[in-house]
Amino acid sequence: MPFPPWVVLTAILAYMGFLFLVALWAERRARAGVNSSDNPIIYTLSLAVYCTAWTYYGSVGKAANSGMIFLAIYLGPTLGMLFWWVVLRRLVRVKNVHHLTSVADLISLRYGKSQAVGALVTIMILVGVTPYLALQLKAMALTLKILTHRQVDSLFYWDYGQGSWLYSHTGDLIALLMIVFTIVFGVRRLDPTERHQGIVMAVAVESMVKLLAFLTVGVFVTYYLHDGFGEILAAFARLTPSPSQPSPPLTGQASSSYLVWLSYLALSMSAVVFLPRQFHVAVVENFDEKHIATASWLFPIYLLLINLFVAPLAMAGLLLGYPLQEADTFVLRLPLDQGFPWLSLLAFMGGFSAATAMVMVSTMTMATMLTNHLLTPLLQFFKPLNFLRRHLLQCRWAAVALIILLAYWFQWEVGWSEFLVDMGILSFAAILQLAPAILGGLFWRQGNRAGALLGLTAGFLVWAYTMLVPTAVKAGWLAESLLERGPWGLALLAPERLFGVSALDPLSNAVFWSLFFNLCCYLLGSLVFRQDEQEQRLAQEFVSAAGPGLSLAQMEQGEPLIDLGQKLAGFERVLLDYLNPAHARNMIESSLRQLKLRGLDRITLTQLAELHQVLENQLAGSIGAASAATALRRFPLFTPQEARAMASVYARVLTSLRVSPQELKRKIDYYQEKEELLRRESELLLHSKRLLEEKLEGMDRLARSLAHEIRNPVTTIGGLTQRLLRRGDSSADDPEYLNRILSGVRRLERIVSEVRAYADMPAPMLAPEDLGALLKSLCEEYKSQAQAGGVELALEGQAGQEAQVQAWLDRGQIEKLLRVLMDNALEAMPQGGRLTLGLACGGDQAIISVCDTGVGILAKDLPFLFDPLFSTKADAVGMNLAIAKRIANEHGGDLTAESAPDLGSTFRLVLPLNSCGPDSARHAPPESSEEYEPLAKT
Amino acid sequence: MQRPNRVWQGVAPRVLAFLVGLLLLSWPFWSGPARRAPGFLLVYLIVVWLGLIVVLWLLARSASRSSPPPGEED
Repeated sequence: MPFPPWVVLTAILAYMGFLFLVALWAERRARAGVNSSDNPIIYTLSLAVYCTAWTYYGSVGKAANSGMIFLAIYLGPTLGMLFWWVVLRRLVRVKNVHHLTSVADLISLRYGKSQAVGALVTIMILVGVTPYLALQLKAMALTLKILTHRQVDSLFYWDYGQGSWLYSHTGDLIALLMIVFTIVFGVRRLDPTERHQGIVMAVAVESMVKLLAFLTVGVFVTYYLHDGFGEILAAFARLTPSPSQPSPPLTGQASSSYLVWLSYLALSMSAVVFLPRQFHVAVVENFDEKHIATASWLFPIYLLLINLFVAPLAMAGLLLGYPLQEADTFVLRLPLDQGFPWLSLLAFMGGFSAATAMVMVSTMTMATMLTNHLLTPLLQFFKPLNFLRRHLLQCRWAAVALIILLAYWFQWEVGWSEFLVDMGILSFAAILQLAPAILGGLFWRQGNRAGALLGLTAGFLVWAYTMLVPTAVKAGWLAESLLERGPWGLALLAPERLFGVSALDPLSNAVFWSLFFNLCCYLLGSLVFRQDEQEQRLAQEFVSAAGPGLSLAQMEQGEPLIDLGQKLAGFERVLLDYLNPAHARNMIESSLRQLKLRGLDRITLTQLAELHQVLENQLAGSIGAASAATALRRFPLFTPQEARAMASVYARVLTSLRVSPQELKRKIDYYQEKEELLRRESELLLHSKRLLEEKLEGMDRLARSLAHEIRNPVTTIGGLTQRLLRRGDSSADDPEYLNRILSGVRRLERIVSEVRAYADMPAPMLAPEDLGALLKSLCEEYKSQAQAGGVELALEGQAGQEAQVQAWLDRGQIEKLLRVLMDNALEAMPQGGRLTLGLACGGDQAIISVCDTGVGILAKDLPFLFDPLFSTKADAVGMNLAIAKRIANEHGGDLTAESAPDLGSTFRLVLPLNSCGPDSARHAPPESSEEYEPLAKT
Repeated sequence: MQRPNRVWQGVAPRVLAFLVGLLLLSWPFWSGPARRAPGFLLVYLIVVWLGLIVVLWLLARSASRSSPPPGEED
């Protein structure tokens, strides 16, 4: 008894509502940071989107008609999964680095981000997969009809125009529902990653539902209607074949069947990864490459389970005498006819799940490709349509509607023919044409854009000619003679027997020739044409991504994991384009020496970056900085894995600095600018210093020269004046005049002598000296002179203590300096007083003080005290303090003076201790807490 | 000497398993018509399928354990 339509529609809406809630839940968890899809079981179940209505209903039909050949569609993926860990994992790695969103994106990126390649792949997929979508729409509409009207029909031979409004508008309703569901589930908003955790979770639930529904029907038929597998197989073996009810062994010639079997295996092997929906769930939605390992054995179990009862269902239907051409409906009809309508509804929901999952994921991915690889490039050419760029989401919705309506139109136009029956395998053959470009791109560095374009075009054209044209002929669109005699009577070009090869069945013929031309053109194009620079870099990245992976965590921790030899080989290849082999090797050797990397097998990430920088700098010396940077850019320094590790290291640094990348850049810019300013100022200062030194040097030379020039005439004048005085034959006033001349000459001689002493002062010859001992000996030297003048001479601090403070100095010069100070001090105390010599250490300085209680110096004279030829005494030249100051400065120290009239003066000589020789004792810690602590004790 | 699980991590065992699997899946087509009878073929293919699943499980187990560094086995 059929269900009222409202029951089925309510069930559909309730089921989709439930799925929507599941999807919402998954999306909310994802926003909260919990990735529900990051689970190997969910990942495996999402892969089961491979099992469509074609599996659910069509497998039974195929088993009834052709025996076990349908199993090749599921055994192929199982065989192919032996290589998933090698191929799929690498695709996932490439996706993680480049944020791929579709299979067209992958191929376009690999071949130099070519828009032409992306557009071609998108067109191929649209043409190849849209009829497959049509099959799903038709399956949904027909099963709904069967359930509601008990109209016995084959899924694939539907006669339109009967029954009620719902009967005649079921297809419209289904197409509308699919558009709404796809938009609501998959294209509600734009996501740059094109990851849809909600839809993945919904697909996983649908996969469970279809599996459980099919197993339930299978168990019901096998164990309720029959007594198990054995009984069905035995009963079927007893079934006598008849023209109207042939038994379903593998039909046709063994060799031909085997070729079909092989073709199915090959087609399904590639389809399970490269079909847009499969690529999406297997690659784009993958969170962890380890899920691939789990899925590689769990998914075949799923496939086995969902196919376990296909043959028993087909046999049971045939045993009940159902017509062979209605075998597609056995899954629904068996429970319905046996009085189990609710079981039939469950079976319908399973089939509905299979079809909706396929339609939603396929349409979503195709809409993405359509907008990214066809619409966006078109907008670049047609400026009036540029406003659409701001409405990309709405464009995506329109693309979804367009694709589903296209599929619906297709099933409307050709649904009555047998064209749709083999639409699944036809789509598989179209997708197979992508395999050479994808696999070649992953494993063959030389594969290039020209090869990919040629291969894809050739494969697609041959596929269309050998598969689409025959189906169009069978649909009645083209003359049948085309298949028999070929175009223009050229039998060699007959689509199903291309080049006269009649040993191949039509499917094998199409698979073989399309793949043959595809591969040949891909290889030829790649070998004849050259890659441009960007392509070379991308090819290197893809092939490197396919190479040995390294542990991200270990690389981030700075472990030396990167193969230095491999990197050097790459560097050498680049250098050889510009340098001769010896020069290139020398450059590499020199860089390795500079970074101390010689002899290492493996290096860290940071060392690799340094090596790249050093090599670039060296190459810049030969070909210029810009060319060197461009040249080395051709050799991708980091593999995607290494780049991720580097990015992670940088991210951690940024996190620890608590600055955003923009802020960091601003700060770097600021400090670079500041550094540049400081550098310029420093250069200016150095320049000024050099000028000053040159000026001082010039003045010294002038002073020396003047002193020399003046000295000779002065000496002559002095000598002649003395001779005149000795002769005594002058007038009475003459001796006085002559004495005054002589006195002036003496003074001039002193001035000249002191100026020469100042100008000719040699650089100090430093040697370690005991300052305490030096002051003590000086004190002894002046003792008698001081006593004679009534001056008390005293030592303070470490001044009298030997071996306490050592400094590197020119003893002669420092003694000269101190004598000047002590002479001045004694002169300042004609009435006697106290002269104190002090020594103290502070930090890295020694301070010697000469303190008197004399007449002091006027405040107005203090600023000029150390100027050459300045003196407050009438008979003094005024060079001594200038010489003393210069000696102090030449020692890296300074000489200062403090004075108060009638109270006395204090001169302080500061000498650095850090210019000392390797005297370990001078760094000894202070022992007391006095203001100045002794630095050195021996 | 290589550890046993390292042997499973290479491409070679995968290629070998693929060829053996293909051979086993092709065998009924080269044999007599009795081998292509639905009853026999169904049971035979399911047994081969289960065998492939076991091999895949072994390969996946060794692949999951192959870190660090993952992928070096390639």
